[in-house]
Amino acid sequence: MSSIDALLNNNKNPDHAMLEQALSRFASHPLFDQPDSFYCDSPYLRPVRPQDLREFNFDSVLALAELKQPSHLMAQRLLLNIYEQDLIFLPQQKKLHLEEFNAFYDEGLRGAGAAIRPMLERHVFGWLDSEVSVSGNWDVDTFKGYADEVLDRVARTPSALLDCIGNSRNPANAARFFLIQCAGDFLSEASAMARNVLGNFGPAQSELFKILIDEYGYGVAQKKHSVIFESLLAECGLNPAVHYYWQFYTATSLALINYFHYVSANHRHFFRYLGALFYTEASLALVTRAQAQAMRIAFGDTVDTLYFDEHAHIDVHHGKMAFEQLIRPVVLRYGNQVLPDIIRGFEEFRLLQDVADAELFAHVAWHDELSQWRPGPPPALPAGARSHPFHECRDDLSVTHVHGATELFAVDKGTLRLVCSPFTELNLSAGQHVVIPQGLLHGSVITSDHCSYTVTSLE
Amino acid sequence: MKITTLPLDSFNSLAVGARRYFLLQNGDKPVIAPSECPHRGGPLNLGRRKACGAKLVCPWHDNAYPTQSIERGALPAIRRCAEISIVTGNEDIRVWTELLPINQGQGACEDAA
Repeated sequence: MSSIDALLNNNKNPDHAMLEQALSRFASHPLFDQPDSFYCDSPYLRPVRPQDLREFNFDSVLALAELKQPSHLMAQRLLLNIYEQDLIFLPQQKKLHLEEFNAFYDEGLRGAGAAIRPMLERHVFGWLDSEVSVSGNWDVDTFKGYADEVLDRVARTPSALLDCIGNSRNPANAARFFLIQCAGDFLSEASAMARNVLGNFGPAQSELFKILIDEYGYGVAQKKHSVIFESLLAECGLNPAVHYYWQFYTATSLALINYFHYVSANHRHFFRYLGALFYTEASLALVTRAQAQAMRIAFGDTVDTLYFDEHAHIDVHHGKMAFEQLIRPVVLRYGNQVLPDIIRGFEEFRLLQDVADAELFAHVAWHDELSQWRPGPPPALPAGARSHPFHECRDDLSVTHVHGATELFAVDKGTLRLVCSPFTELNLSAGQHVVIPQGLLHGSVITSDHCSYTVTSLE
Repeated sequence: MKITTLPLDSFNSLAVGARRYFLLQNGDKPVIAPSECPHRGGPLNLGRRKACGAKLVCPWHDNAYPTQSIERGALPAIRRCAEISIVTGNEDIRVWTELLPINQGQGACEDAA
């Protein structure tokens, strides 16, 4: 039963009905509803496709193998909107629309988000409980030995990102798509970390604060990591406004941002946060050199790779600080009882990073394939294939989304533009088709007065 | 220190130097548990479960041990999807598969009968 069906049919469980109401209220808010462009000109406009709510059941826990399902993308979009209501965003280039500002931070909307947050977190992160577990007799040095081995393996493994971008048919656009995936996080870098520096937890608190002030540039705007990243985006021909490319974040890129908010917004997960922080800081020190190299392959040797170079340097310190000044003293002070959660956070973020990398590479491979697209005969349909016809008018825009199965997308009448990334678009007319693989982002906009198209499952 | 990563379905017993361990299925959290009973060294890996899996019973003297206390002597391990990484000293490691009644029919509770 879908979430909305549950609402309509629910006359037994008032708590559940309230939850469904909160979900509908939050997701259908005008800020998150239908936009008129694929690009978000305001930091408060973050479309989530509320019309799809009826199809999803967020009460369930997705399995690792189900992360390509459309409910994953929608739940991650919703969660980032909820978490980021705790952060301050003001437009840097455009005019401030005060009514949008007030609406985004509205108390009622925040209340609805707070009500649905645990359900969404369980839906998208519950699978980690069954895919990662820590057992046995650990101490802090055993963990250090394990972490050193993992990080050494990261250091020794050739960069898959470098391969992906270097071997792409269009390395510059592949690199830009990678930067877009980073932008959701890097343009408000370390915001989740800031959730953890308040309160009182002794000397470790001050150590975490030191990492935070590095991230935030010691109060000097030009040194702030997010500002350095804005410069890189602009140099690579991208718009540096916060969430301008909202519709092109993959679900698992969103998961990387949301995981840090998830384990930081609820301080019960503080020790998981410490483990995840250690993994990300220590591994970034190792992978950012290859990321800088990927930028040079894509944009030439003159591209300013300061953002990645800064991390290749400072994250050596941050990785060491996260372990020696944070984790080790915390374990010594509070005992080995806190270690399982620390190790779990380390391993969970590592797994999430691997899953996000795989999804990024799959998108770049598909974009490459589409760049060679030519009209051709449609593939054979499986017996009993289910088709859904759509009839739309000029300028109707379908917000980017994914399908849970590989589908044949065929235009029957009129014309439309299929948009798979800011750099990968196909203009399709009557009689033309394209196969859209399971779990890959795409949207469309109608370019004739009327257009009919059919989507048919190939599975 | 040595990290050994193995597919979970590739073994259920191992020896680290002279010490033997077995893979104790514990829901989503597999444990690399010592095979030697702390009482008289009986084969805990050949024991049975009690209290709906919360305790292991040594086949020699019927001593029952909570899984939690067994885990305190277990090797440090992390399961990630279908693999498990085990942290040991630098001793040689041997792994093999044998019939382990303790991991059969986990759903059945001896006490419920």
